[in-house]
Amino acid sequence: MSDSTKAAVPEEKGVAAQIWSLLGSIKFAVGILLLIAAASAWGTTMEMSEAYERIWSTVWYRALLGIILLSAVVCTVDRFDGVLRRVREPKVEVSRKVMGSLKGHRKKRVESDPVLAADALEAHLRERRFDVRRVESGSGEISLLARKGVSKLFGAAIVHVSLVILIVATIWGVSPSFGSYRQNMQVREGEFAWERRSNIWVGCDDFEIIYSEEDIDEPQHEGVDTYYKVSDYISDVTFYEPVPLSEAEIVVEMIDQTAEWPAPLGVEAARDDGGPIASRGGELVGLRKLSDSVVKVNQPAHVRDIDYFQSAYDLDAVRVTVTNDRGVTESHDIQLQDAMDPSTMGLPPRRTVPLLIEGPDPPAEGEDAAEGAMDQGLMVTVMGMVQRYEDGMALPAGSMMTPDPAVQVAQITVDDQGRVEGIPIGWVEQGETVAIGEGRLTFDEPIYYTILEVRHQPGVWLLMVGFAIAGVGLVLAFWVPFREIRAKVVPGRDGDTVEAMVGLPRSYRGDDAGEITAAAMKALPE
Amino acid sequence: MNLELIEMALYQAALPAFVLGGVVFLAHLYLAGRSAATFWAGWVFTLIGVLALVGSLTARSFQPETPRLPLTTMFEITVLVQIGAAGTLLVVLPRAKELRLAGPLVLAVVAALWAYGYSKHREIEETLQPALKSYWLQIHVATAVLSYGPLFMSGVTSIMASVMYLIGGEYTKKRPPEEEGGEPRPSIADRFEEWTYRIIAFGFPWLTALIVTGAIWANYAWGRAWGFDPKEMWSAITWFIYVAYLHARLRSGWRGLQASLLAAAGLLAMIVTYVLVNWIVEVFQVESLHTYSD
Repeated sequence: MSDSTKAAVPEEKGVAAQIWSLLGSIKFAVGILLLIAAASAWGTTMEMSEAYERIWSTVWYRALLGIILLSAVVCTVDRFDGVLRRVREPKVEVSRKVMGSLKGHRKKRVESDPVLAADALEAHLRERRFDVRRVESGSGEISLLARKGVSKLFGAAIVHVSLVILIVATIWGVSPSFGSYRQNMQVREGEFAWERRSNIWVGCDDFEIIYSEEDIDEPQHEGVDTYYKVSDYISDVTFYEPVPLSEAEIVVEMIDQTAEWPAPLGVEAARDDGGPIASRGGELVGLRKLSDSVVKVNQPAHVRDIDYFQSAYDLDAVRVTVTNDRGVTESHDIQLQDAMDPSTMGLPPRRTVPLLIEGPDPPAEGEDAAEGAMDQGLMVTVMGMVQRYEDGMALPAGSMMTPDPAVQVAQITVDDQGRVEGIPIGWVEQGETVAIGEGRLTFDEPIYYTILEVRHQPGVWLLMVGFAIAGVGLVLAFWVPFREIRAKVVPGRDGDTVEAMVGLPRSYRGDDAGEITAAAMKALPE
Repeated sequence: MNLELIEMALYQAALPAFVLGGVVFLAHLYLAGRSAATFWAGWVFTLIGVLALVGSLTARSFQPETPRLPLTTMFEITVLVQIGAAGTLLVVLPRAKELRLAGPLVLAVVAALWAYGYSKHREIEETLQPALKSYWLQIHVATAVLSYGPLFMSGVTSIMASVMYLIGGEYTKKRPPEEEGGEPRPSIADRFEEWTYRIIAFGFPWLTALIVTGAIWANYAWGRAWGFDPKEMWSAITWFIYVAYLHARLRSGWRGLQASLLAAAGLLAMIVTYVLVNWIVEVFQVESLHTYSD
């Protein structure tokens, strides 16, 4: 960015030229940068959603970022021509007056031929790995310009170009208008979910939360010397592509509706080759395995240009085994996210599902099983689940005292008038069995949803290129030292002597200018 | 061999080394820089402090409970930043005589960091949060040390330069040339300002790398490179301020007080990013994914 406008700007200062000039102004750019910093600082004092609404997504904030980007472009265009000229066609010849104003300048008269003196200086500078340009004037004066680290001059331009690349890559990688997208995918353990864009089915074979024990020397809870921390969230997933059903040879079996109430409704399908089947909108789809993967935090899966990140998880159900008073054992996945069931009226507001232990006879033909169950009898309700439980006590999340989950069970009686009464039975830990009346209930395991962040980021490779270019630019701009030494040999009037002058640019920041020029002088022939 | 005791003993040994280093540097300044021995004594004490901190972290690394390099907690990061800041002092002071005035103050800041680190000392966490289990952690923290260490020192020199410009007098007068007939030397304030720029020019690319590596890591861990999290935003704010400083100084000719104050603002933003952002999160009850390090 520069304060002056150059060739790229129209000579007449119209509105466009004035805008161009403003965008190329450093003071303007610095002001905008500080404005962005102030607005960003303000945003950090707000709730994330509020900050997004009031600052990050607003037109004015994005406009500020856009202006800075434009400023970088204008500045690069403005200055690049000058940089190129300075690199390719540097001004080698300068007057004696200019030589005298240089930093650490020295002059010396020696008995020598101008060419020999210039040769000696050139050899000295080349020995120090300088690139030397030499110009001889008609009057016999010889000027030398020695430089090294010229690539530094491109540093700022490269950084600015990288900024443009990074912004383009970010827009490409984030904006759905340019082909990228993101969504959350919930996959229940043992089930499949469809990823629309790539037409891939994702099956969650297992989701596991790994806990680690932490020995604490100074426990915060009395009598507790072991704490637990989440060590990992692991999703074992398998990726499938859909195959036509005609190839899958579907066998569809209705589940026996006369089974002990409550009988699961719906259909169960199986392929004779044992392959998996999924259902989309009631339509069955055969699946062919593509690959399987373990998805963890910091370990996404990548399938057909789609990245799957471990984002979160949710508890979907608890799996319990119930043996009723008739000795019939059934396994149930109790959906904890179900809407409030009428049978739970009057109970604490938990998501509950009734289970029959003692109850009416199996429903008569044509009678709704649930209605029969509601009329009378005894049921149990799983009122909820906590992931941390110990010594008869549910622990709040984050207490880190135990990773043992437990379900809270209540006994529910429905009288002749349909009135519901719930009596809490207590907590049942995983693997534990509790007797209720003539029956019993065992808490087998929790069933999770794994929640994957699904992203298609076509701009990522360009982003990486942008980062790499920015790195090169920054190294050149800040770490590569640029050195420039000027020397001039002027033949004396006597014809036997020459006057040699050496100096460094005024902008040279080192403390050793004098030493550098003294060393060059020593190279002159005595 | 009790590595836990060694870790703490070495950490505690660093403080007196830094304090002694600062005192000896003060003595060196009192003697108007005539005694080179006092300068090198201060330098050696500082080196001992740095080595004690390196030893302390090494002892922490080899404790059986440590499952990885100790680079995750605020204590561990603070030790690294102390090493970075004092290490920069060790590199810069022998090259810049005028800057030796900054020695005691930089060591005072390092001592303050030491105290902050001490208050944040916790037992080693055997289990890393899932998000921290990545090789990007090492890369990210390495860039943090290489940027924050020097930038802390540049912050001190920028504040000192600002004060000198405000006081004026001898501090802002050009000094006589070292050799007869030579050019007058820049004022002491100008030298501080110049070195502030040089140190920032070293630290700024690392600061950029710090943000970039953080974004790449966040993309792997959370599926998004930038989440407008307070810590992320304050690191961007710090970057914006240093970008403004570098442009103003290199292209707009800002020198002296203006440039020094802008560099000092960079330090302030860096302190917010490093320490105070957790406080902001608490006070304004803002969500943040980065509070695990506190």
